[in-house]
Amino acid sequence: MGTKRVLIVDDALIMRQRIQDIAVEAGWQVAGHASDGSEAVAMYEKQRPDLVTLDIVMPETDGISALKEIMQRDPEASVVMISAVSQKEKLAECIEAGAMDFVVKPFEKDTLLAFFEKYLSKP
Amino acid sequence: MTDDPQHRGNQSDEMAAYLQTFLDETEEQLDDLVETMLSLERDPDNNEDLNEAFRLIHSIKGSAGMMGFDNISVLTHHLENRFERFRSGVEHLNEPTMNLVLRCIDFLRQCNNRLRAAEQLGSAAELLEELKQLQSEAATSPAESSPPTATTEPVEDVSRQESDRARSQRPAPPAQPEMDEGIVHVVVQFREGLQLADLKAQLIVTRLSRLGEIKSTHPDMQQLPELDSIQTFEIWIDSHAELDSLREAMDVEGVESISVGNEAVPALEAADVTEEHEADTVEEPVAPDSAQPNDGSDVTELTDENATVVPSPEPAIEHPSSQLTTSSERAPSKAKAPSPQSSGSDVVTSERATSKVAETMRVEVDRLDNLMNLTGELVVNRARFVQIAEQIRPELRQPSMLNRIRDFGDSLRRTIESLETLPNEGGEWSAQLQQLRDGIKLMEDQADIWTDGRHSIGQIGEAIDQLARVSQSLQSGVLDTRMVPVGPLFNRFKRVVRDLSKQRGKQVHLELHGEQTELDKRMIDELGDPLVHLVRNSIDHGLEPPDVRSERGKPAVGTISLEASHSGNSVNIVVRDDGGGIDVAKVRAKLVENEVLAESAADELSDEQALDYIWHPGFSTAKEVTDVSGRGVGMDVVKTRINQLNGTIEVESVPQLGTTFTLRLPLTLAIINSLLVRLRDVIFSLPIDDVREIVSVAERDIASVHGRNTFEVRDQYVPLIDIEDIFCWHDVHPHNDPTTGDQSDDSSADESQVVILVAGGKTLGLKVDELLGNQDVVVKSLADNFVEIRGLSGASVLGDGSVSLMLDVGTIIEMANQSSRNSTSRKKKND
Repeated sequence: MGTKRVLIVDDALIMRQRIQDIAVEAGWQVAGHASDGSEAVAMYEKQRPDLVTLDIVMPETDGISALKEIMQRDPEASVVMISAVSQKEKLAECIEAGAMDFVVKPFEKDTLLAFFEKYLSKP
Repeated sequence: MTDDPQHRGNQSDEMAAYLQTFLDETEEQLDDLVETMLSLERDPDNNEDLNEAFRLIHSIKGSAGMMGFDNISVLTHHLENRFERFRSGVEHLNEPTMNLVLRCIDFLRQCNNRLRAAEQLGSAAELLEELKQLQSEAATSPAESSPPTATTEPVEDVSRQESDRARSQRPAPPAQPEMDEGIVHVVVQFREGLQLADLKAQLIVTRLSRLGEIKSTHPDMQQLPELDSIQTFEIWIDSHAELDSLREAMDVEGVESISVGNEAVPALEAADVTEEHEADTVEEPVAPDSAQPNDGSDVTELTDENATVVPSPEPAIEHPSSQLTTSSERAPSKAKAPSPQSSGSDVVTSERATSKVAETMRVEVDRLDNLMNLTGELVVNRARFVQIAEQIRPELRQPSMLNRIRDFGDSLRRTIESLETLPNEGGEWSAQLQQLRDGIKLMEDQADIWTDGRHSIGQIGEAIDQLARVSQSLQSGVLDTRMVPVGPLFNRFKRVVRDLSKQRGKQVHLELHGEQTELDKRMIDELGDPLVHLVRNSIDHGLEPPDVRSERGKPAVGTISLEASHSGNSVNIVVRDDGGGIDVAKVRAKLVENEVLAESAADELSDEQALDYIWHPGFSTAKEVTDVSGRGVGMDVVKTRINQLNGTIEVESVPQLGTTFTLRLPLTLAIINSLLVRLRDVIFSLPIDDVREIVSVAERDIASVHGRNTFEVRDQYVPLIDIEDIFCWHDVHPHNDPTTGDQSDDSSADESQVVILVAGGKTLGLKVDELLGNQDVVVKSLADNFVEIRGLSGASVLGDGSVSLMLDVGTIIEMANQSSRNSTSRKKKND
């Protein structure tokens, strides 16, 4: 069972770093980073990662548009939204659009670590 | 509130590693935010800018929340709420809010500075209070941090759709749904304190609805939006899907346990607990998965953790009471189990594993400085090697010694042979002849070794050439990594100009050009203060008040432009205003007032000379200490700073049309391509960018104008100085008489080598004793090790280990002018 690869999308570098560190600790490989929605879609297309962590509020193309675009290109895509509580209504929209889960920012390390560990072992 | 305190705390040690990134990133975001705010000031309803401001604040809030900086996250949280209202059009951004936001930005910057200095963060209470006040003034419903109406509505919409669908799917409210055939009752326990648990419930419903029909939920879907926290969520679903699939669908982040039917199974997160349950299920009449591989295998293949829950479908078949699917339904889901996605990606994983993780990374400037210093050392060593290689080369060009030795050896052998033909009684010479032969052999062997050595030395020469090339590339590569565009520096002036123009009651338009021009990071850091001073000066003294401008027929809005451009190995930065220019009469009056010059002397100055006095330490028209730069410094400080950066500054002023300051700066602080010259016993380096040309001047061509030595080059009169006019040596010059200098050296009795220097628009001929060629020198500060000497900008170590002093050409020219001016006033009668 090869290592799984995650694409990390967030407009803040520090968030990407944090998520990456936790993902790596959980045993994931990082397929790439993207800092806005259109970058994310392009990266997804190129990398076809096993998981995408997706921020909602981003410049240019936001997370919802990116999610919809990704789901359209790959209905099997596993996308987890990582976003602030204040984005509740956007999160609801993401759930509708096919996001498989969401994690609320600011997250506790253990929460995200457990999440990554769990999904690493899933088929 | 943004984040509850229990979400942090124990993370703080770990978070320290992210502090640098946090500071760098938020600083950039704050810069962007200021720019966006200023653009909003012009067009407060610009949606793009409002969104961008919202995003930046949101992003800072998120990062601060993660770092655990409560002050910052609380303040940004409130700001975010404000902007949510602005961008949804509920409220409009007005001037008081604008000013408050800018003050908040200042506070956030201050936070960053304190974090950098490892100080305690200040309190944001006052700003928060003001924010709330503005908020309650603007909004009729002053709900403190409740989400604005615009945000709640869509939630209701979405959930209503959701519940509508749920309702339409269910024929009648299930009074006792668990009695129905094929309906599964599931209970989900959420983690305590889980944020947005209602949304998690919605997520679960959405995920489950792909596997069957949701018959009912408790709490009801319709109530969900009103519930801030729920811990237990029950669902009745009509599904033929496998129990595991159902469980999988419900097992989202934040779910602590899942129970299907009467059996409670903790979420997969707690794997060890699950195992205990496995033990329970094994007790069921049906054999465990090992006995029934066909039915159980689809799930067992997954992972060990999943396998622990595997047996649970089995009892379902045997006990319809646990509301489970029929075994016939399993075939399709079994085929689905090894999902095509995962099997497909496994194949490509290995080849994609090499793909790079990130395109950029942040590096501390200190590390780059260190790299730069090491590169500097390498440059010095390279110079040394190149020098040695050059010394060796002529030696190698000599005809091979080996051939001569061989010839000599051959002739000796012939001599020996002829000696052997002589009668040799009892072989008494034999031993000596053999000795001779051995000697020749030894000599030839030594010559061979020498040839090899010579060959090696030749190779060393080639290796040095190679090393020189590589270190040259390394040098430019390292320099390159330090280059950053001036854009962000320039952008900071938008705020400076805004604040100042408000304070001064002047309308100012700021123009930026050449933001992409790159300069050494350290240089950019050093440039901030001098540029602020120049811009402030332009607003304070350059631009006229709007009424005066209108009288003069100029647009009421004054323009200040900041321009950057490359020219050769240097960068020009121009600060230009379209104000009234520098009033030379005022300058003269000021000089007299400040007792820099006597009135007669001031009157004697040409306009150009008078203008030059703005750089004089005694001249400062800025009496007041403004709060923008926080320093009431004169232009002399600006000039000193620029000169310290090996740069020059010049001013050009046209009455009524404006003032232009031009700064010329080397691309980097550390390595400067220089012309090495010998002046007396000392080797000096002159930045090559300051050297216009080198000429030979005959003694007879030197004329004295106003008591000053001058010569003519292509119809231009250039003042000529000797180094003794500038510096006085103490006791290190025994052999040189400081006479007029032109004949001081033996080589050219009549001709002198003169380097023509240009800086700040002025030219100066410097008589030199010897030209030593040009070289990259690594400049070290003199002040760090000795004392600062006016006219010298630093020192560097040359290839042979000797030290050269770098002349600060701008200052030298200035000093030369001063000394000549003094002599002019002394010898007024002379002309």
